[in-house]
Amino acid sequence: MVVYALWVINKTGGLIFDREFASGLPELSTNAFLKFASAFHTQHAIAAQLSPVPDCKGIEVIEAECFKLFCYETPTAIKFIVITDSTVQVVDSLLRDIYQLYSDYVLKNPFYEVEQPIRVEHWETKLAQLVGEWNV
Amino acid sequence: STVGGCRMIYALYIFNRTGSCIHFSEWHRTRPVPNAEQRDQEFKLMAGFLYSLKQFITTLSTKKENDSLICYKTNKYKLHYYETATGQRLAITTDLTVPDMRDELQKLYSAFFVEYVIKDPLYTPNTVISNPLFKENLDKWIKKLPAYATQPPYS
Repeated sequence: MVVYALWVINKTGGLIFDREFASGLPELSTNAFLKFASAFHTQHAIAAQLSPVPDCKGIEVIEAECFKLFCYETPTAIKFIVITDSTVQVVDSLLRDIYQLYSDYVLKNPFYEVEQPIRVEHWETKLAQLVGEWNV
Repeated sequence: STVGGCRMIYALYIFNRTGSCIHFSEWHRTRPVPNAEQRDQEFKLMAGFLYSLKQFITTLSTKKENDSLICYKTNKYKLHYYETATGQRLAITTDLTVPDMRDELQKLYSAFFVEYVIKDPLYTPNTVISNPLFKENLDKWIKKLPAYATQPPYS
């Protein structure tokens, strides 16, 4: 059970945070990640449009052969995306904990402006600790 | 009211290698019925969407082009995907309780697509499937699957 990476996407599809926690994904440039974030943001919305039933909110899990991608969208349209290996079944609690850390260390930081790239040391430390527990 | 934990198959799309929709079946539709133009838009959107998901996955994966979408889930439905070696793309939307349908999609391809479409001497490759045997037999088979419920979940 390995968590490879976390991305945080703001409500317009901009990547505001990305961190790799374990190797297992291909080497990609920052530009590539920005493109991904924006691509995923669109795909998330299109999946809701294509829904055969009403009230669909968007993609929550993508399963490929080598990895899985889990997405949690907050009520304020921030998306937390966690990319893991294919053995992981459920990461709900991890996503909720990440959101909790975001609320406590990022949103409550008076110098942080919402929707902007996140550069908060405490958040990064706590995050590393949290994911470290998962990756043991 | 909804029937809890009810299995349901919603729709099947088959696209050829250039992304045109060559077959579409649906069951238990709850959204309003679209007209032909809206239908066409939906197919184009689905084809483009599946293609972009495929690109997304091959770039993110260490297996590159050999990796493929297995399925994705939203809060309301699941889409199972299977792409053949010849580039035919099958996508089936179901409710969330239905487990992996890759085997069924493979079966669908070999038992119905190959039998009634590929082996049909009147069929031109990559065109819309018009053979009624394909549709009828496929329909009968889908309705017998455990994933298909007879009672629509929304009333």
